[in-house]
Amino acid sequence: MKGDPAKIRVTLSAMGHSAQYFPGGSGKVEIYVTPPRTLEGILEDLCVAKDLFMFALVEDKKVGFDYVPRDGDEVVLVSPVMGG
Amino acid sequence: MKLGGYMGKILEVDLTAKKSRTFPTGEDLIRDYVGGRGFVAKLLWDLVPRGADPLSPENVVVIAPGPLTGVFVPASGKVHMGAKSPATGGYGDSNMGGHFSPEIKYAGYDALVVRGKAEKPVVLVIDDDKVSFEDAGDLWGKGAITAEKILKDRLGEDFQIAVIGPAGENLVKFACISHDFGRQAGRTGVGAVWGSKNLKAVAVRGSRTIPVAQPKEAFSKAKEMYKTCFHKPGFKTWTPYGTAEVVDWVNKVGAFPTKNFSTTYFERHNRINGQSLKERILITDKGCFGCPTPCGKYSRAQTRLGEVLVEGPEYETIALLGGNVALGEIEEVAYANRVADELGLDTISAGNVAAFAIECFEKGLLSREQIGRNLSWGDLESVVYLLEKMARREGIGDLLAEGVKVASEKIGGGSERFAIHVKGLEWSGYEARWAPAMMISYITCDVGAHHNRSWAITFDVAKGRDSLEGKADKAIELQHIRPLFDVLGLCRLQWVEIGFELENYAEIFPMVTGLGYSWEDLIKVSERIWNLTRAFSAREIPGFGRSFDYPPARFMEEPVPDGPAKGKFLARESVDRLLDDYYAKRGWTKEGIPTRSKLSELGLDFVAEELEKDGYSI
Repeated sequence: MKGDPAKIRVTLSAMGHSAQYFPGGSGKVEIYVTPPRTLEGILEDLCVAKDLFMFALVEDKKVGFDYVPRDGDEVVLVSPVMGG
Repeated sequence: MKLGGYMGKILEVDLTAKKSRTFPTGEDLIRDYVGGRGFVAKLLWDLVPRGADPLSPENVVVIAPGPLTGVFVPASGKVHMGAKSPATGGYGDSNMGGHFSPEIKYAGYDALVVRGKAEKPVVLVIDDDKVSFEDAGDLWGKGAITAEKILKDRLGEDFQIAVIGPAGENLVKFACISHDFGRQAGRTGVGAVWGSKNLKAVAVRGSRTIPVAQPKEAFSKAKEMYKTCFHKPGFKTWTPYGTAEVVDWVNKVGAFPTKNFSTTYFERHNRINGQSLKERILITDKGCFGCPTPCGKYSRAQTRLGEVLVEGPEYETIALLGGNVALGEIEEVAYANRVADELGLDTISAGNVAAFAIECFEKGLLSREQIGRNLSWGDLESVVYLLEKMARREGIGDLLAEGVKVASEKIGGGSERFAIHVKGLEWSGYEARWAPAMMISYITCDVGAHHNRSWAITFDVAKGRDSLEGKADKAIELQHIRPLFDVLGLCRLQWVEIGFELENYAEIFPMVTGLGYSWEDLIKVSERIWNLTRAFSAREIPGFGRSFDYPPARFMEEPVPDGPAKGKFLARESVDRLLDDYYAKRGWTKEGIPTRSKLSELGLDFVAEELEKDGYSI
């Protein structure tokens, strides 16, 4: 919850077609979580399957779903590529 | 009618008479079918004589850009190529990127129609209004990439060239058309149709300007679209890996074709994934016309058979000429990719056919004597040997060149169970035993087992992979949206991969064309085309219906033996439930034929009359 000093703010953005399966379908959520919480755990809290994404990016660097976000992190979740 | 995005005429070429003429792009054609895939579908319906042999002079080739092709809309370089398919006997088409499509518009045409059969191999050269038939005797037998290079040297760099390889010449049912040294219209055997017409290549050069209805507004919108693409989160990460990036994910969710789809998890996936491509063989990126997100990759790979330069490998090639034949090094996949490209083989079908042959050998259904050597999984020599044999129709290759459906019918011994196809077209790179939305997408795809009309596996992941609920609806929704890009002449990867909003296309379409269509209007056009292509197959294939929509027995009866999808399969009753739901939602009969009322609603009464003549109860 905003204003709770024990929580950190994390922004999750979904890139690509899996964005439609985010809460509200907007592909972007800002949440407050009690650390330490892995990305996988945060997605579980949001009822979003981690298999909807290939990997995550923080500051343009790939991270795994075991990544533990820090306060203010903006995490980009990348949808699977299709085609070729 | 003078509209933006259209050149106002279609070029028709008669190879038998070596003559050409143009006719106006009809107002009705534009209004109801818009362009690209829509033009292909309608012109094939009108021009292919009922019951024509796909490899006879009677078959017709239609090549069509879209109304947004070649203007400043991002990634507007797609071309659609169609004919009655020699692989399925029904509606066939395939699309490719590169720079061929815009050049057709610059030469002044909204579509090319090619009929008849040349007496000797020819190159059709279109230089604005000038159409000529150049002798291709010296090119016949040459590889697709080699022949393109020769033609570039001969005609000039500013010609855009589409060409077939030996597989097309030899009427291999899964021969492709190649362009830009590595872009292919790969599926449904359109390359074999060119070969049957003695058409080695089409070379196009144009100097015209494409009219735009509201140039200022359209240009400004296009600029904004490029900017939006460049600023999408993750944009920087998408480009370096291209489509190969998805290998690990498909493997992780238990959908990666492995050893002729006998399983769905490949242990060596991390030796053939995007990272391997980038770190071990990548030279540089390559994009198509106007592309902000180049997914093409030029690679150099060294194997024990030699070194190759190749565009690729793309995901589909990695899946079918990698995991599906168990090649476990990216260099080996790249090598097989280059061999297939030069021979002019669709890597998806060719990978299926090679895997089918290896499994037949393993099970004793094909002998060493019949094949000419031993075959084994993960053996590059085996794979290259099979590719060469099938492209040249030598020995066992003559049978394999017919595709897995026909080959299994002749080989027998239960091999039909593991001939992985729908309607005669081999399955592409996503196994669907534990993905009902993907399964219904594949089995109802209008050209056969192809992923590009509806790719719905993430819907399965999101909504439950054991559930059948809502899966048919999702497939239908995607079967209207995704092929719409083929109508407009655009690449869909920007929408799919980096989340580029569909509203952008809806906004720029009227600015370019002057047609006041909403996105919903365009979706209706796409639905009309979908029903027309289904009806084309019903008209051309005797007894067409539900029985043509089943997946291979392997997917309905054999549980996946290992990996994340272990134990999963989609029983026939479940497949029937999916089909029932799909047909009902589409307004089709229980046999999967569009009803008269659905056809009327879509303005396709003329189609209903033809189907009734054929005895369909609609």
